[in-house]
Amino acid sequence: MAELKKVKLTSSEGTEFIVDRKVAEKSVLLKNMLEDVGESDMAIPLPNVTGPILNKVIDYCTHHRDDPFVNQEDDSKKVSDDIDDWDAEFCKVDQGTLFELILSANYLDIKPLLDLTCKTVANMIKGKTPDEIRKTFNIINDFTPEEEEHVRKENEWCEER
Amino acid sequence: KIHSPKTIIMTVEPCLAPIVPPEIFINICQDLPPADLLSLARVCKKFYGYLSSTYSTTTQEIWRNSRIKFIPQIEMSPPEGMDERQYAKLLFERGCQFCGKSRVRRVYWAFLVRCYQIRRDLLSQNSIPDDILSGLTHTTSYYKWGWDRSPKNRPANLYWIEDVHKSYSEYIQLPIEARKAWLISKRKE
Repeated sequence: MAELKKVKLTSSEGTEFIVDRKVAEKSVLLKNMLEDVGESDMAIPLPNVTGPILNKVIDYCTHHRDDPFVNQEDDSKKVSDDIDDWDAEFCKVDQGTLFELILSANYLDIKPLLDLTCKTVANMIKGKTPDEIRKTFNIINDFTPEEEEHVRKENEWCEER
Repeated sequence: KIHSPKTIIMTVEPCLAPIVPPEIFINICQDLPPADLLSLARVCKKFYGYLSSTYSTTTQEIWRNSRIKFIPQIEMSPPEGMDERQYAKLLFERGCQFCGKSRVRRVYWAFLVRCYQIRRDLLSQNSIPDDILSGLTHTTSYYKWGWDRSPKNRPANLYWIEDVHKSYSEYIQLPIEARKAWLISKRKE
């Protein structure tokens, strides 16, 4: 049975991972590649993904291997509070890892993982002032004080007598 | 077989947020209510750029989707001449736009301002001569009080506050003799 087939993946540093084809196919990129290539023992190189990140991604895909494929159109209604416990635990990582997960999910085209990680970032932004957001993500304020004031005050009206 | 010499160990918390690709930035914005988008736009120039383009359909969509998803009770599209972000600023920021009084949320729709109380005397107090306004972009408001159509209550012209301040500072820097000529030239523009 095709489902039981194994697939070999190689991370950027050359570490080899062997996963069920069904797990690998959570990635639309890999799914398409596997369909194009057909039966093959060749490892698929993933030069954009490091070993530790690939490990995390495989964890995610293994846990969610039996989830139905979500249609891209109808997930827009979901609000970000609906992250389940496993997923929330999965996202408890340092920021560097979180952003690498986002980039990998984007590159590998794993929509539910991309949405989950982006939601996690959105939740870190919610309810914060611009300065708190800068502190959270270590972002430098590159506005001059005048520009900042301009941005704050723009589109105000005043009235003629 | 090629082995990379070293695995890269990240010792410092990297500042990755500003280098996120636009498509990912958009994805993150999908989960943010308008009030948070307003804060995000003030974080740095890059985010401001992503969120402030009046002519980018993507930018306008981010704001519109956020408004529809998180504040579904506001079904009304932005008033004419206002883009989605300006609309969000008007609706979701707080405080009087004139006197700075905090926690004001009342919006005077006729004037498109959020204000504690309409200040008719704003310009006279600042002693800005009427003439300065003549060259500026403005919009005509409705009657100030719908039921009262007396001449005193005629529809007023509304100006961007920034334009007025800019014009006024230009004007005030001129020597007295040159002011009149400046006004005439401005009016022609």
